[in-house]
Amino acid sequence: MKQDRGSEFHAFVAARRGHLLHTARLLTAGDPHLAEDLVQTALTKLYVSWAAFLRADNPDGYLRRVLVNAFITERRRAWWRFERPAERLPERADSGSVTADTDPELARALGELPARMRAAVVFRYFHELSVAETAAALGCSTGTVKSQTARALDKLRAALERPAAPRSTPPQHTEELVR
Amino acid sequence: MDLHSRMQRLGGTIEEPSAAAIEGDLARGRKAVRRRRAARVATGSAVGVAAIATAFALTVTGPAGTPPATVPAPALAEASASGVQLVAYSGEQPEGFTIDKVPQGYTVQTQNEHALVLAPEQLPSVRLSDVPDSVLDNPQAFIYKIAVYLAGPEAVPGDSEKISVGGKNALFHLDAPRTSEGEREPGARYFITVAPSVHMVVQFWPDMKLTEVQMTEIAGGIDVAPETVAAYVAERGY
Repeated sequence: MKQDRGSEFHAFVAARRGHLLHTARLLTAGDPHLAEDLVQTALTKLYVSWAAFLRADNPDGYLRRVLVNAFITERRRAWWRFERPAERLPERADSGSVTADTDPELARALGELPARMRAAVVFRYFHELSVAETAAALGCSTGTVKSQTARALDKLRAALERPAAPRSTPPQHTEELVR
Repeated sequence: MDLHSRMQRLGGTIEEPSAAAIEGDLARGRKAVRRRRAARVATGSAVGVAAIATAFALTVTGPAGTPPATVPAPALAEASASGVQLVAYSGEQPEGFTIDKVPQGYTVQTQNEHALVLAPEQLPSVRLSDVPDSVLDNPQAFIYKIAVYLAGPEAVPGDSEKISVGGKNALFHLDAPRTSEGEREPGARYFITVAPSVHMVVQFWPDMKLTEVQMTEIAGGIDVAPETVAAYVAERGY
């Protein structure tokens, strides 16, 4: 049976990994490295609970839930790492630009959204899932999905209408503090 | 370009994964399964609440019964909605303890003279590990459960944080460090001081999907009767 799980999982990853990565890049606001971390984490969790995944009435919904849970956890880890700048900050500043460079303003705007709000807008607005499907993925009520999506879109639009800050100017924040 | 198209572009192209990437995913999955199995064996071998309490005491660096000089806010890193609702406990109060709030669907599964276990009536419909349903029926297994028990100062990890829980002095310890290897939601133990050398431990299993705010609220709502503490002190000779 172990070989069955391995071969099934192998086929699943071959077929779905690209799509997962696509969604993960949006959830991580265009950071390709965090997106890769997120996909790896989600797939590991999925492998562990493979039998339950196969038994699920709605495998796609199950997968989304796993991804969101991994995302929220990954966000906590990222926040934790930020408390130790030497471990993460220099790498993020460089690597984050690979995908975000395609649309830095949108990446910045998405990055300003709280994690669950960002997930809500990605699933509801971008993937065009129903309110119920999005609520199942986020583990919240349909009312929460509606309000989170509406607020997220408002925030996104407001952020995108703001003039973009000059890029590659890490000392800017420090200068503001000094003045 | 509209927002939807911009998001499509930001998400990047959907490419077939490399063979190395797939093999990497498979290897990580297999490693995680082995780790889970090892953890499950360790859990299943524990006998009784006291044994579990000992197993969870990772390091002991000395007595922790000294009262906190100040009562800082607990390390509440995340206060976002967890998807788990807390409800007023409506079942029969266990002997020697009182319970205020529990996660929805949780009841007292078992208790003895100085310990009790709160368990869900059924496993979460979506769970991140393949825990067998039989685990729920085993009162000595604590997966997805809340264990409450009395313990001496030797049970408190040395790096616990002094906090206030429900107005009572306590120590807090996060049991699943958020390391890069960690794959569990954080579990936690609250060591609420109920006598000079005795704590009431409220232990939350990782992956219960409770926020730390919710865990604090549950722990703060559990009280132990003075007679229960006195009997424990007399038995242990503290």
